[in-house]
Amino acid sequence: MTAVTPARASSTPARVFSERNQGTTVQNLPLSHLSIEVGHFYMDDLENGEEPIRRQFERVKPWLDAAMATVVCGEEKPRVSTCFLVDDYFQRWPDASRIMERLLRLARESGVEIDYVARESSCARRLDGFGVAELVARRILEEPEPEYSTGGRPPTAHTGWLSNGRPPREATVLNVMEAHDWEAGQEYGKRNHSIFLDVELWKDRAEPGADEEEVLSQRLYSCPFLAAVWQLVRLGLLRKDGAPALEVTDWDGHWSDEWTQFPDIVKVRPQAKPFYAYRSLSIMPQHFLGIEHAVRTIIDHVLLDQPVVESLLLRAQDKKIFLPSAVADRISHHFLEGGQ
Amino acid sequence: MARPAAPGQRHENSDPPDKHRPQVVLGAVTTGLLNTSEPLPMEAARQALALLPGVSPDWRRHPIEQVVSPDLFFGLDCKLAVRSGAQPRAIGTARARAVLTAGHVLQGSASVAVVLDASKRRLPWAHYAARTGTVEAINKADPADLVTGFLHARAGNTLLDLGKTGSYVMSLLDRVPQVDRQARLKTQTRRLLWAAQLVPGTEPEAQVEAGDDGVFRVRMAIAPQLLPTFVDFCEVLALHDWLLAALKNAFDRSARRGRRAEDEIDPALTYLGHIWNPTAHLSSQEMRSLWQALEDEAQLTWEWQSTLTRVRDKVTLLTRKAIEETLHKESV
Amino acid sequence: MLVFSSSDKGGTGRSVTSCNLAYRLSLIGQDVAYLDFDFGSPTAGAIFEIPTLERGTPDGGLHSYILGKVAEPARVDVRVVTERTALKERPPGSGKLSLFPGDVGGAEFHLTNDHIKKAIDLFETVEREFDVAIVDLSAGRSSALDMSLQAVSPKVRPRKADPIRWLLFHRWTTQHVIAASGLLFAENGIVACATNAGFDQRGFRSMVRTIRTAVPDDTAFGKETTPEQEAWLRKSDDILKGLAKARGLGQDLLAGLTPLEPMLLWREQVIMDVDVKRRLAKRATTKSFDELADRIIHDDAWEGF
Repeated sequence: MTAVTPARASSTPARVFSERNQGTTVQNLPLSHLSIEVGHFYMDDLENGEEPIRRQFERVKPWLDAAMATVVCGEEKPRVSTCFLVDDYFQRWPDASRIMERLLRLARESGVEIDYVARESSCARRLDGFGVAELVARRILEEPEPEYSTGGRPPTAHTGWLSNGRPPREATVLNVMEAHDWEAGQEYGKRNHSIFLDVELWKDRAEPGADEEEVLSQRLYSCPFLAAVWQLVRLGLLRKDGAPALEVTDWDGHWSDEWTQFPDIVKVRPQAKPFYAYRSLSIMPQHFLGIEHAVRTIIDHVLLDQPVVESLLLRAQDKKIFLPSAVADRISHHFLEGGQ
Repeated sequence: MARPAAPGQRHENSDPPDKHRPQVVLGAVTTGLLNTSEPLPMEAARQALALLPGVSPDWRRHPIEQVVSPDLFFGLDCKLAVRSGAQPRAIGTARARAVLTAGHVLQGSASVAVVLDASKRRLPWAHYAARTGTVEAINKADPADLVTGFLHARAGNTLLDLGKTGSYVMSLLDRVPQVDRQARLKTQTRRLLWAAQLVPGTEPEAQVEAGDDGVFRVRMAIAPQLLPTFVDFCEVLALHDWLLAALKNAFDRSARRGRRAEDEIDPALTYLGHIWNPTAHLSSQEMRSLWQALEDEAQLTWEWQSTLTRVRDKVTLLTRKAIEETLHKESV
Repeated sequence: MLVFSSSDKGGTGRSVTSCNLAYRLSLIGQDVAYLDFDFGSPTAGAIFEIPTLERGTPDGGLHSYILGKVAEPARVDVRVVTERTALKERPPGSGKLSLFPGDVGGAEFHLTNDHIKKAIDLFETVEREFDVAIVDLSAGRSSALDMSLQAVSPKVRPRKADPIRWLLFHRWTTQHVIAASGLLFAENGIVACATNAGFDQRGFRSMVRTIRTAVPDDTAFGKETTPEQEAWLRKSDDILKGLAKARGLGQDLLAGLTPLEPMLLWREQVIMDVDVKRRLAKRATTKSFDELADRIIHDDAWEGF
């Protein structure tokens, strides 16, 4: 055995040469304090007459005002931006320009100004073809099984499902003659009682044995998965080569008739505050509660790039803004009451 | 009216409060040859080590090419080995990365920071996901005991096993298109275990032990801010330990029955001969001094040089013999 | 190089011959890995006289590795862990001898693509370190056998990779010859399975050789052999040869034979030169292992005989 205590050099000479090429430099983004998503519709809701749309925006309005008053902004003047996500991934109606114009008008008439419009399809794949969802998919870490996750077990291949624990199962049957026994599911991080949740992330539709590219191009992401991508994008946490995974484009004054021609995120109001924000709030109808529970579960299992996370924490600290370390704690919701 | 802070929330400092500060960091470095016939050129190496979409690996060209993958994380919920008393249960994530040196020598380097006595039960996963590369132990333990336990524990089904995490990260490189899976040199993967006790303000103090199982074990007391350079030190030591073992193995194999010596020696000289340079990537003065102190006693560089000389002498003798044989044939 | 050891029945001496082969290969300078794929009953630990591995390992052996429970299988240096003093020695010029044990309580499993991927990785990893890897498969058709064939099929194995040898062990009796031939050629036999995995039939058959084990010679009846016994033995041997040929296991497929070795009747173990010197084992036994070892590593011998 060798025991060594290095003699402290009397004076550390200044270094002449240094080289470390960082593969990725994290961009500092302009940030709002809060990004508010002002309502959500399925594509067919947008086609079913003006009244339901107007009604939802009218119900959003008071909560939007309330949210403005809760902004955590340290010593700065509050910056808030609003956004709206168009559900064009699962269903795509033609006449996109008509839908967009009507949507923005109805919002405005209800007193809800929409600053940014984004498309759900972009959360899967950008206009330029880059697979944004893959950024999240590849950073998902299954929750380790209690007691046996030593680091010596290779991670299980993703099956397109993610859970917060162990599913219910048939208990070990010691004697084949005995009746089969059932063992309840278990939430690993439970407090007294479990709420076991198993979330479908995507469906693979490629033939078995197809190469990776083919599998990805045929993959159908689930609604909660894309919503998780959307939340991470808004929080400035999802990056490609240090830049936001989805970038904002200024509106050129007219809407294309094809959803696929839309930029990923469009800045509708020139005077809007920055799209990305320290925190996010989504105001939406009650029936999205289940989806948002799934979103939270997904986000809890995404291990983000450390330099990105740190750059945001440093910024916040610098501006004396409290930022929770758990990403899901930066996200809040208001669910509009149902039955309307 | 906007508020400076959310109700009931305090400002967080950059340093976590004492209770959540890791006292011990454990790590393992696994080293082997990348499964290619020729070293990967820099560009290919950077593509190969881009193990996550959206981020590129770090790299440098001088004096030896090196590419470092982005960090990957692995979920942990297992026991930590201790010499005495109950084994604490630790939950969180291990951090691991792949390091490729000279386009050819691949390392899987895994580590985990241990926060002791952090909670009484397993918390919701979001808590751990926000503290990557850290495990929180449910029970109390003596940091020095953890260090010894980790370095000397026999593998078990429920004990932390970072060496295998490193192996797994290495295995990811077997499947990238840049790797032709036709290594031309028989080599064995080797392992180094390290454990550091974080003591603010302390002078670094290290013990390096070469075990009879071929595993190097490094224990160190170190100030927290020096930890990254210490990890570099361990990776450098693991790399050079492997180089030495690989060259010796090639020399040993060259003397086997019924074997052409040059079949073993040629690839070893071609692919390994130029890589030895331990201080190349040791950026901190402390770690250079540490390496120097290690050299004074273990003399690894001397051992490398003398092994290399033996190998080259053998080549010279073989060449002379071949020439003499040719001349003899001509003269007959 | 990958060498697969298969047999139709238990008790053919497949494992003990394979272990001896591994040992002999290491003596002639090869770095050898022994992979115990007999998942139901791993025996190599006992044959190499490793007390902690007599029935496999409790800590993540090959079975666990294939099932994805460990990132890396357990392994030992036979010379370090064996209880047998003579075996601990590594003579100059000899190679390494490592055992990758099976798991205690391993069992058959339902084969999936993930298992095949693991097997591919395992073989590649082992071949990067060792000259020869002997893969000991359990008797008969098994998932391990299927998995092995799929993992080395031309579809997945790089073209320039080291050669593959497929050994079929059988005892030199009527029943064993018939059973071995069945395992190789029957409808669901090894050849059919290999073709299914992507080998072309001729290519695969050129890799297959048989080893006849525990073949009695005329000393089998003891010192006082009668001429009648001698004649009977010769006749029986001729009949068997005819049967083997008719069943496709003729001389052209024969890699070698091992004599009946009384020492192995009592205890399956590595037969060392000291055992011959002490006149415990027959010289013919070690000689047959040496010849086999020599044939295995020489391509020309393999192609030629």
